[in-house]
Amino acid sequence: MLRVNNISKTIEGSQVLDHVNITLEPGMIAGLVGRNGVGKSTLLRVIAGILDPDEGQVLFNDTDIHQDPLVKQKITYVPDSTEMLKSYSVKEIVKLYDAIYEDFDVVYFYSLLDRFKLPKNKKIRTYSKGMKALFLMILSFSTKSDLIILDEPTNGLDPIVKRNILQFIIEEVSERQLCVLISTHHLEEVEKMADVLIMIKEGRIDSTTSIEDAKSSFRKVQVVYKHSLPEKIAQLSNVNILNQTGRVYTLIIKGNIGVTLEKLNQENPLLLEELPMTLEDIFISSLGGESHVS
Amino acid sequence: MFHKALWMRNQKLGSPAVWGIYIALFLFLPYSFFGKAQSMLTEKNNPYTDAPENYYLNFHFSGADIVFFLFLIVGLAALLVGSERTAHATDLTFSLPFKRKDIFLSKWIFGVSHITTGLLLNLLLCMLIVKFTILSEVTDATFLFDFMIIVIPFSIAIFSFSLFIGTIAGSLISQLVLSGIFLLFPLGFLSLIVSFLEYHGISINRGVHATQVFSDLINSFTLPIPIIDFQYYVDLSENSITDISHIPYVMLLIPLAYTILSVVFGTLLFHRTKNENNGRLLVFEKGRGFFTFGVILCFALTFGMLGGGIFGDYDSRSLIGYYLSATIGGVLAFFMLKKLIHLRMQFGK
Repeated sequence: MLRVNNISKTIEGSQVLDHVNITLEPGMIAGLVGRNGVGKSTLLRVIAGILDPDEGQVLFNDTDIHQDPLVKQKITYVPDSTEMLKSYSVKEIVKLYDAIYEDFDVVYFYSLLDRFKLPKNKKIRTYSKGMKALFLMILSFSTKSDLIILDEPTNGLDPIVKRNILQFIIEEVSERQLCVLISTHHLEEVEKMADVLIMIKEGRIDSTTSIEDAKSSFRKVQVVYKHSLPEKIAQLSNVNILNQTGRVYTLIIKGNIGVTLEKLNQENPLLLEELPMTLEDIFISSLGGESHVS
Repeated sequence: MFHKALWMRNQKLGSPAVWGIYIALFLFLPYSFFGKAQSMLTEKNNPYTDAPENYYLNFHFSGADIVFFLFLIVGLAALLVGSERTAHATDLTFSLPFKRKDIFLSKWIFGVSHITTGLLLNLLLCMLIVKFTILSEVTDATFLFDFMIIVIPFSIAIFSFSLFIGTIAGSLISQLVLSGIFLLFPLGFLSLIVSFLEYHGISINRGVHATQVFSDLINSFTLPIPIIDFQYYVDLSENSITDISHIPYVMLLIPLAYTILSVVFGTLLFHRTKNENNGRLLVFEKGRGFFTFGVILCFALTFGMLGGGIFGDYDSRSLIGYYLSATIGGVLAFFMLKKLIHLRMQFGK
């Protein structure tokens, strides 16, 4: 459905995107995660056709969206800024989107407004920040697009609305086989709903894996040795220190798990136990949290 | 090119200026004409009691009366392009399923339609007022046709050019400022060059008839001037005078050329726009050097012209004063631009 081929983008002399490749299929929810300023929003804006890539292509159903923007009838982009539609009333927006998108479903749109209890007869500017974000999402799903791009969609939403909207996204994807690409810092959301985790680091795709594969390729362990962490362990390139309190180390092992656990055991630890793995652990380990051992 | 949704979007963006255009034209044209007719009628019915023989009918119309409308045209162009860049709204517009060419042309068609409709409607009302009020005793509506032939193409050219400036300016403010500067550039830059030459002992003969064509050309290249300079005067006293002055019609080729070039290059640049630079002074990084050089040169020439008289008078001009002032202007412009070129003017994130 969506193929991002070798996209590069330089802004003000610094390379923000460096030969990025992504492939997404229908029925897929992909979470794009990475630290601040690594190029997540730039990548989404290139995919949405707002920015031109210096190199590469964005293909939607084999059509280059920059060459033929009309293909974006089936793509909607929800930016992280909610201010752009603030001068509109709900009715005006409905008229506008109905005129833009051939498949815009007005009845469905109003039913979603009811479901999420958003007022219908107001200017968007009177909405709270969270309501605006929710409104934009409702609007995009009502276009019946096949690809929905969400940039930090749950910012400002309260936990109950957030849970409802995440549930709603999952329902939509399973019912209509659409594809959703979400950029977010809220890793627990990605963990709950995404099928694919795309990690971006310094403008490059660090990894693209399923959440399950990502979790199975990492292991989180707590170890205590008689003295400090043995030199042999410290030199391992696939081991990151997640946390250290005195002689108690929390380590993340990336790949080669069996062999690495064996090496940890060979150094006669006082304690070695596996801890439950979260996406946040993977994020910190892969994309740079605390110090790397080597 | 024409799409209902784009028209609706433009209507939302440009509506303050569009309303302003209709209201301003109504106030400064038919409303003002009707007011003049009413005053004339009052004066005719109540001539000066001490010297009724001194009463006579006269009427005056100047293109300068609608100068506010010209500001609104530039404002409309800035709302259609610059305001989107400033308020992050390009993210919405450019993510929609429309070609960039169509987005730009829809803005142009939107603006041109409203400008032309506003002018035609209000000038038509003026003609009716001239025909059916006391004004008909003084004049006929021919001068309004003459004005219409000048004002419509020049207004469209001003709008098109300002819209084109919007494709290189990164924000609402920079589009407004650059449009203002470049609309007055031909006459302004000529003044700076003349001043430079005169300070260097090269005198310019400004009064010769042969320079009339050159003067018409420069005035026509400075798009607002032919509208502001349009004058019509009629005086039915003993020495009856009817005077109309405007640029020759052949000069209408200039706004036509401005419009065509602005639309062609505007479409091209809008297609290649660098939205990552929205909010900055300029959208494109290429050409910043040339732009900086031009601004520094103009500032230097302006400061030289204004401050050149410090060490001398009009007859004995001081080159030291000229160059000292020019250097100050140039250095000021350099440091100002250094700050401005990287400043991001965006709101509403």
